[in-house]
Amino acid sequence: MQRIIALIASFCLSMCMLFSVFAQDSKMTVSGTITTPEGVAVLGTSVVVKGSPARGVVADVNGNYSIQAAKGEVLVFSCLGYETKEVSVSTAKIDVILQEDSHFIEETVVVGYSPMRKSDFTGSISSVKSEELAKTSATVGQALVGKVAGVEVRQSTGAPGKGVDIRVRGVSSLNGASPLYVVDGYPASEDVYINAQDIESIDILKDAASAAIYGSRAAAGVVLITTKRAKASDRATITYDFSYGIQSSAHRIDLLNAREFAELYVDGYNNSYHAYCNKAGVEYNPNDDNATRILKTGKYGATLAIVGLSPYFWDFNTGTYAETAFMYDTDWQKEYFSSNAGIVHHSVSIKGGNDKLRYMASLGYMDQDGIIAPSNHNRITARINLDSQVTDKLSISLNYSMYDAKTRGVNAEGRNINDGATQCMLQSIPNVPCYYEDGTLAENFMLRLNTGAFYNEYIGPKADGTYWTDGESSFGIGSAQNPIAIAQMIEKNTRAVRNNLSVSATYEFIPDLKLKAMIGRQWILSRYTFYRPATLGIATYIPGFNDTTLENSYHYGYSDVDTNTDSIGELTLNYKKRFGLHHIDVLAGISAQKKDYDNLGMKAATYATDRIHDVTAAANTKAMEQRNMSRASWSLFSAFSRLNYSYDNRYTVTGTIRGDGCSRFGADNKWGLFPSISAGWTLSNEPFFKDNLGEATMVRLRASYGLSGNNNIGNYASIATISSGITSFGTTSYNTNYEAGFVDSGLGWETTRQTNLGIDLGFFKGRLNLIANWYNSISTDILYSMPIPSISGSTTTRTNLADAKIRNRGYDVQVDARIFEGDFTWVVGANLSANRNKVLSLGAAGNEILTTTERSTQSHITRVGHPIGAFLAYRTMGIMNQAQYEAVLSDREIFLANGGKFPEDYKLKGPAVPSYDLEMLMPGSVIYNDLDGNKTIDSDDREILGDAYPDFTGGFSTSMSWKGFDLSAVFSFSYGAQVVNFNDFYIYNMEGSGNQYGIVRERYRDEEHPGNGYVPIALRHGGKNTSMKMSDRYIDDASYFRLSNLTLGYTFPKAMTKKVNISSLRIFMSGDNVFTLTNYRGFNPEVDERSGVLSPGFDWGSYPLARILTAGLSITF
Amino acid sequence: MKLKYIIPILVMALGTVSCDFLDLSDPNKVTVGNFYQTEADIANVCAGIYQPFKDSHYFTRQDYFTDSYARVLMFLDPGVAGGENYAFCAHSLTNAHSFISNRYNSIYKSIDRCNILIKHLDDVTYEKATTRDTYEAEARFVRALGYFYLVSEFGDVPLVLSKPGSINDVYAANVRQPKEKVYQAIYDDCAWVLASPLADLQSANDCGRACKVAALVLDAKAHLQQATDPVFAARKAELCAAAKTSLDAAWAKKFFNKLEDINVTDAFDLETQKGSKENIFQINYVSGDTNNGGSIPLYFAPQSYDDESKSLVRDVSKYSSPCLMLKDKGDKIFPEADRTKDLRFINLIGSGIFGGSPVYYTRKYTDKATTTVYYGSDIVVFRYADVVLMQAEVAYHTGDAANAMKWLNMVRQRAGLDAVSGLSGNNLRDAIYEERIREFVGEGKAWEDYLRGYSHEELTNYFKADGAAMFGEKDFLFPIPYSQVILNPEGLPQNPGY
Repeated sequence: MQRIIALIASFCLSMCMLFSVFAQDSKMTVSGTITTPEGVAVLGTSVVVKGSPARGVVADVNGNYSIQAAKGEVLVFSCLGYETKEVSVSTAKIDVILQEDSHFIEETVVVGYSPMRKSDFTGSISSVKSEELAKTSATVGQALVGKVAGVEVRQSTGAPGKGVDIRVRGVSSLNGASPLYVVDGYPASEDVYINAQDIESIDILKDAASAAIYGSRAAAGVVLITTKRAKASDRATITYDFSYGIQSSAHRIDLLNAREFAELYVDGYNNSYHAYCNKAGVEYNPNDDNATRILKTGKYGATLAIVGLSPYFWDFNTGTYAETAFMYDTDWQKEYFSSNAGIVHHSVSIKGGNDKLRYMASLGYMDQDGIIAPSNHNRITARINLDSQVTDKLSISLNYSMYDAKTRGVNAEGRNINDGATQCMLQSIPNVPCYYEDGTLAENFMLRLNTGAFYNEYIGPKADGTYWTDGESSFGIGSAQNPIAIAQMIEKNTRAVRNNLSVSATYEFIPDLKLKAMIGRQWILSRYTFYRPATLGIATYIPGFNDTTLENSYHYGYSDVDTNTDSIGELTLNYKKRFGLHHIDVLAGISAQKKDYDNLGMKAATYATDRIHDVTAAANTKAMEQRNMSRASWSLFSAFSRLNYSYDNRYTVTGTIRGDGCSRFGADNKWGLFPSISAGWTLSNEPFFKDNLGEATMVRLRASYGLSGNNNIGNYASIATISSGITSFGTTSYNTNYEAGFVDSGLGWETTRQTNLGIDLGFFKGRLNLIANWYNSISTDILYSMPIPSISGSTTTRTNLADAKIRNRGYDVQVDARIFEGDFTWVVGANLSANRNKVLSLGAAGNEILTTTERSTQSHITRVGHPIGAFLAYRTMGIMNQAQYEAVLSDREIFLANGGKFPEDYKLKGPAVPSYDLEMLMPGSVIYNDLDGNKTIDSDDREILGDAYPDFTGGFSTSMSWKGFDLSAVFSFSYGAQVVNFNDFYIYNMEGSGNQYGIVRERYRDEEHPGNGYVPIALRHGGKNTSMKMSDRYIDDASYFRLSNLTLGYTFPKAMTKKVNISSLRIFMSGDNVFTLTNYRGFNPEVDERSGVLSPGFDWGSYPLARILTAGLSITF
Repeated sequence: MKLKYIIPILVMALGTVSCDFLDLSDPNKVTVGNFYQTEADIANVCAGIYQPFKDSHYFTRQDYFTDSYARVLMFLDPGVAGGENYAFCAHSLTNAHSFISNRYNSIYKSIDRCNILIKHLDDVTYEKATTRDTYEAEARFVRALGYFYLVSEFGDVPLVLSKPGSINDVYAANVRQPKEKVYQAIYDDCAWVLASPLADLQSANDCGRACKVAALVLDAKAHLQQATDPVFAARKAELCAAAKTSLDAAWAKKFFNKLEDINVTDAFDLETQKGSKENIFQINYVSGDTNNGGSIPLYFAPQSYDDESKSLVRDVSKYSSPCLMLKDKGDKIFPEADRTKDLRFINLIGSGIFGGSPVYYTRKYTDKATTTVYYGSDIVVFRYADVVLMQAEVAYHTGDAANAMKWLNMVRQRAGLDAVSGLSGNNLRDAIYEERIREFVGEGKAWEDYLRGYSHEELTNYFKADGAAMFGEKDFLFPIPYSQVILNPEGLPQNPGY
């Protein structure tokens, strides 16, 4: 667009000049080439002798010019879109480099369907240009960290091939909605898989008025990605980018060593024995052997797993630690994380064009090892963008892109007993080996500490000469598998291929009236395979010791094949016109999109061999099970329009409307309408403003209001269906059918209404810019699987909560400053966002929704007046000292005497406790706050003690360059969020069954050794009264400050590189996630292990982030 | 082709988007609206009413609510799963206990399926006229069985006897109804079954289906349960008489001569149980069948066996914690003196170790036939020994000591024990109910049995003395799940004490 205007303008100018050229004395022919700093020819530049406007020429398509001028005269080089340059004539050859004019008035923004003049845009948008994106990041999303106001970009996992979570202006839904991604005009319903080198810009539509053009899918924001295209003036160039990085784990956790763990172990089990002795009313003697312990307390519920001591740790004969306890001192984190996982990027792109055909093609390759071996992500990306001007009126564009990735995942996440490697790593005790002396992996070692076979082999027969049995060896040691064995032996492989093709044709009937038709399709193919070998033990299944058969329920594999296609057809009409001071921009269009899912999965439950891992090696191919098999589709038909009017670049008003009909909505609710309106006033273009403050300052006010929707309700959710199954009578199978559940046939979309008020300020001719927005958004008709009485046959039904309201309110501010320009440039940018999420009403769902996460714990609550998914926990009040313990015992007397409750007017002498069972009472236990004052600690004493939403997030970036050197840094921060570190359920439970945080050294031991005052007593049967309640002990501060990226580069001088035909050469070094300052006790404060919106900020054995140190180069020929 | 034609072609392509573009139906599912068309559809729905029985905490792990709650089978590790499993024998249930809501929800799911079947029975025509009523009889039995467990465990409960059409109907029906109405609904359903063409007893091939005798036993059991509920003390004689009528009718339909003709292991032996003349109604599993196998044996296995030949499954390592054990209970349930005689102790009880302690375990659920983890041991819901002992109960409650001992001795003699004589009053009662505990170890009856035999005061003292120090009056009913109460706090008030 700019280019065409430039051409027309310069054409007019040169025509004028042609008629008025006349010769002058003592002139010579001055010639040269006009290029951009990148060496690309700037065609159509007018070259005029200063003071003689009639004497001028226009540069040709190669940027060459030739003009008659005398020495000492000044040539003026001007081209629309570039800064004008003046050069005094001294030699016959003058090459000129023109800088692009950064405050070019016709700058456009990508706002959906057709670009809009930036000066006309009155909504709220965050834009990131290609040069601001860190190219060393593994994914595009990571490159956005810290750069965009009002958008939270969270790196919740470090697994190779995994992206980021993007949250635009808070959470407005109870059932999860991610932003709509639109790549080169194609709305893709899933995350994007793009080579960062291909990206021209990323624009994020934040307010409902801007997003309303995308209607029922836009409530969570819209991310518009534009890939690079060639300009008509682009000389053919080839660019090659390369980088190589080394990754390492960014953080280590302080855990106990072998001696400290052994002490904790003996301490915890002895204390439990002590508690059960109290219950049994017998004397506690720590020197009692296991048989005596069971004899004295077995009748009262104690087992070896609670009160016994494993001979691996304790020798009753000598009354001290067994030798085996200190045979090893394994640092599991050291074994688990690789210190030199590589990441390599290659990218080649070619670009060029003329006024008939423009092309851009790229090929990218990336190979990333994860910091947990052998995880790996390897992908090839390709892209071809072609633009052809077929006739004066018809142009055709073609976009093709391809993504082909192989990912080897490791089972890092989840519970230790479900093969969650990270938790197993944290829980693995240092007293056992990772590898045997011969270098083989010590699998199943910790599991075997509970088996008779292990003690027979390691310790030998019992004192009486008989052999240990499993029943006598069940010491309650945690079921942590060797995490390296899990990572290596459980295979999770994904092979994904995506092909996207879209073709569009634009016909210009009269100038600026354009009809554009686009059709496109995506083909998405993926195959996921999973294999779990028989030789990997889990919980009580320990191969080779108590089970040698390959046919068991822990030996299985599966394979899922997904074949999805997405098709789109779109027709848009666009008209732009200027009438004097009036400017209008009209868009109207229709769009039809359909997505088809075709998923096939097979599970093989038994394998004939451990050597072949595909489902093809199943022992019984007739007994294979179906898995995730389904076909489904959704379709969306939409009509939309946008009208933009501006007057004299001072007043602007924009209205949009979109109507969406969607197959997902119920029959009574097929169509939704999403209107919006916005207006802007450029105060600084008012005459009175210019008169008083001049041209250097820009002030603009914006306001918008609009509706957007969320249709994330699943397919067919409004249709009642019949399910089928199998049952049996006698030995014969019978088919069964039953109604699948209660269905709401009126199901519709969720609506978000958002008001946005904004101000744009520019000072010093645009060298200092500030953009600030305040917004208030209210979401209604909240989609939710609402609990219904189970007498309906279902416990939930998916419905729109009519009277429910969720509010997100906040502001975001972005400041950019070009502090120095010229030889030394220094640019800084900063952004700050604050969002307050609040549930105003839950409508029919009542006052609160409790969410159970892990281990039957209701850790999250969505309660009216609080943010979605706040943390529900007991408040701790320190730990119980001896005097308080004795007071509790005297309370207990009253409690029992009064029939299991307290008299109404009784005043407790000690703290309230959850249970007066004697074995649950020990000095050193955690004291919980009796919130409701009912003299007992019960579920009503839980209160909201934090949430996963930061008070503020933001970023700060700085970049400077001097004589070819460039240095940039991006910092990001988050303040005021908390995280539920539920790994504490295992590594801070004080049981002594698995390893614990280093802080456990400071625990309460006895009245003389009370520790630091908040770490409770070690107790094997922890449970109710001590450490396993969901309390504030599990809630950590998630605030952090991170140096997300630091890059130092050097661009070789052109003079040097030109000699070897290189037009540009840059080398650089960079670091990603260089450091993170945080008080969080786990690996990554941004962790979000549960996918549900109702349970955010939950750590359950995640894949930690890597620190990446990279070196690379970029060459353009 | 001239490129400029592309635009009209594209316009036309979009124009082909027809009106039904947005009307997609699930390619994987039949919709409710067009399902009920043939007799076979109804047959499938009828088979489907039996499926929720196998849901967690309906019959699968029902033993927590019965045997464990009565402290016959103990859960030995208080720490497992936040203490949820242990809470039953410790009597420390809360309204948020997940097993309780599983059970409540599963039972109502089962009742809902019955109501759906009854609603659609007349949508199709049947080849044989009796088929329709046979299906309705099965649905009514399954529904009545659900209400029996609900009313005896939760007290007043919502009573839903037809499928609610809308969400508003659901809310309107979600109100606790007096126990009396629920019992009456059970009796009405049982009466309907008895007048239907349903089979008296099912053959081995139809093991798992309802039958008339099962309805008789259920009717008798419900009457007996109501008769011994202190709330209905005034109607005790009348209710006992009704129970007696049904028990006599059930006894008259038996296919054996004397109970002692049937071996004590016959009801449980994998080889014999489906066709056992003793068994009346059972939850049917098929050994080695991935779809129809169960995991029941694993719930009762110790960590190690004193005699591995008595292991419950072929591979002794496959004990699956958590498990329920008789612990230090052998003395009380099987007195030392009788152990050498009692065929039930000899054949159906094993000993081993769990958590370092000696334990006894029930061998009723044994399947060594399969190498897979899909076991075929059925859960026996009703069998004739129960009819016999309920006859003894009715006789005791109606003051007929002679007949009570006659029926009691049938079970004792079959088990190889001496006949009792000359008992009366509480001695007679204890003999009957202790025999029930002994006979039905692990079969999911103990808690209801205790409620029929003993007063609240007696049971409170008994459980307190047995180690459940916190046992109190509230524990005679389970809590209504919190998740249900909050949906209608007025209509669904919580049981006192929770």
